[in-house]
Amino acid sequence: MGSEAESADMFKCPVCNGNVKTGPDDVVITCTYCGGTSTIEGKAIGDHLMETAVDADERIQGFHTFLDKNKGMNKSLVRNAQVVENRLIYVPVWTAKVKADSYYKGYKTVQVPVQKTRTVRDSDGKTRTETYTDYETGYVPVQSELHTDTDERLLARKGARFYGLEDYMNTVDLAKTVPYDFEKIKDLEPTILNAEIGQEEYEKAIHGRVADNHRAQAASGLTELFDCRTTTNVRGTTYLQAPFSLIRYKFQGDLYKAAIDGHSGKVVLGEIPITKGQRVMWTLMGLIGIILAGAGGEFLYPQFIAPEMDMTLFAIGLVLAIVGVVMTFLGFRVLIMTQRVKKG
Amino acid sequence: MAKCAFCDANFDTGPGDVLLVCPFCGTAQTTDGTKFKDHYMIRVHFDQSEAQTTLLDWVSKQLGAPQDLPATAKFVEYQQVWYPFWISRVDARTDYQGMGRDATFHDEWPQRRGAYKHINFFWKPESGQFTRRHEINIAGVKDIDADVRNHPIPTRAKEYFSHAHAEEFDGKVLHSNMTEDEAKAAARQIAIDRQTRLVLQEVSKIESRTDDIKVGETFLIHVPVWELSYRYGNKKYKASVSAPTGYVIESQYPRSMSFRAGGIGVGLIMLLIGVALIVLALDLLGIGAILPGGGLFSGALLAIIGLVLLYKGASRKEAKESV
Repeated sequence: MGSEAESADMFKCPVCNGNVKTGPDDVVITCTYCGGTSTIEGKAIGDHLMETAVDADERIQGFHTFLDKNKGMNKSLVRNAQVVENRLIYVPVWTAKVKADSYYKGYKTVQVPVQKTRTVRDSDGKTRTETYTDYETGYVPVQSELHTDTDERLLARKGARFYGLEDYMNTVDLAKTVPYDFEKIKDLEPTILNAEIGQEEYEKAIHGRVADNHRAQAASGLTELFDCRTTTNVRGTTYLQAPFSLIRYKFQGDLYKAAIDGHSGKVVLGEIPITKGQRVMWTLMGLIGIILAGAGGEFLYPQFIAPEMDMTLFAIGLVLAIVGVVMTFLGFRVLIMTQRVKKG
Repeated sequence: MAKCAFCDANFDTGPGDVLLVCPFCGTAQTTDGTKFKDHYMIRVHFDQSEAQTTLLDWVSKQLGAPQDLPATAKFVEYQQVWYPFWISRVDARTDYQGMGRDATFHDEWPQRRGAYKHINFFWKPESGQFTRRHEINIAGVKDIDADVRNHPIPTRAKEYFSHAHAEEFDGKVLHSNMTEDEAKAAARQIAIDRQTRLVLQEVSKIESRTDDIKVGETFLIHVPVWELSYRYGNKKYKASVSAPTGYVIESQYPRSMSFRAGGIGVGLIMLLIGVALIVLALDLLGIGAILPGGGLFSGALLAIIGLVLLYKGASRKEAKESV
């Protein structure tokens, strides 16, 4: 039984005849000896590219830059952040240009100002008519088209995702790639994952994703979408290995993480701790906000009961009130947040 | 009790278990002894102590978690549970005919060109097709926590299932309550439901449809999860940690007494001051309005924040790591 399991795990490279250990569900295999890439049936696959990667130290540097940019008043963040995990992993990515054209039809509603008259009784008991502005619903038919031509990338692993996946996928760029060459990256000791999703499967999946995006975009401005038809055209499908690293770090005994683009060493998404001192400062700001909003209210209130509005005082009051409410909201939000999440 | 068709060992099964994993030789098999080959796993990368440290370090940053939590929490239960998931690829093509909504518009508003006063909906026949590839992931056991169920499959290499690997950690490998055929049937049904949702975006009533549903490769994968529980003070808290990645799938955690007291105390004071300011501003006591404008603004803000702090102080807490 042992030998049977072993043989199923092995793939003979059609280029160099080397025996490559593969995962059970892999469909595109990169030879660990010669770097040749082929499908599991041994067929050659078009261009196989990769993004080169920077070493662990450079990733730490990029990570420190990220911390430094987002440290706020927490001066000790960079010094006291202790990295506990920083492994490089090459993930398989399919990318293609997808041209999509949609035709859609629906309607939206608008408020139409209408001048109306009404009879009112004044304080002397006399009736008079006055005009006023009312708003009524107007129905606007919409027939329009959407045309996009975008780079669509997909992680070629089934059911898988990792922290920062969407942000990371957006950094993957064909312009940064070179032909796959394991020699260039083997010193970094990366884990290399093969694709579990093949080309044809990717092209079908991406059609669905783009069509759903178009529908959502069309529906977003409408009250009701009657019809939406999308055709897609996928071209230039390319397979590449993209370097990713998850850094886990400890700060004051607590664990945080950051997703790193292994090509540039820069953070794409990361968590930033909030210290006690920062919480206190933000809370103080929130309290000041409450006072400001109150002061704004004091300016505003008399303007509403006075016969004539003083526009200057009204404007001062309004600005103070808005600034105060925003400060209060932001200040107390930080007080009850676990951590900040920042994009790189 | 079942007898392994490959190594003749007897092992325990529960009611409803239909795809069994022999705890001695690790062979996945149906109840009548047919071997199931597409059986995979994801390797453990966080052992028990690493999972526990990761959990406590992560939990200790949660709002109001006690400072001494990592030092004083005592783990009282720890079990590595291997959950089975069925993953199927389903190719679906649906051709449909039905009635979709459309509308005509009458009486243009003179003051806003392009907008109409009246809309009349009508039904019109529509037809079309949707082609999609669905990847469907079904938990092989019914009794599974929703968070564990919805946690994504880790981005780590899949391997053929090895019972020896699960044994290294005393892992409890759950049998699947579903056979391959049942999993395929369920995947097929889920794919049909997804197609139906797509069609219903286009038409409101489906009059006829033909579905071409092909359930492609279907495999069983066991994913290890550390089911932990720790004691802090006199209470027990449960947590699930992903063994391949160390992500905290979910964890209950304590809130320190000082945090609770602070939250409730400060919240109550702010709420009271807020209400008092509003009462004075609206002159509900009949002693003349005090700070009529400012009182309303500041009072409302204070009252809202007071309520939020009260809630934070009093609520029980569970946290999940976003992946």
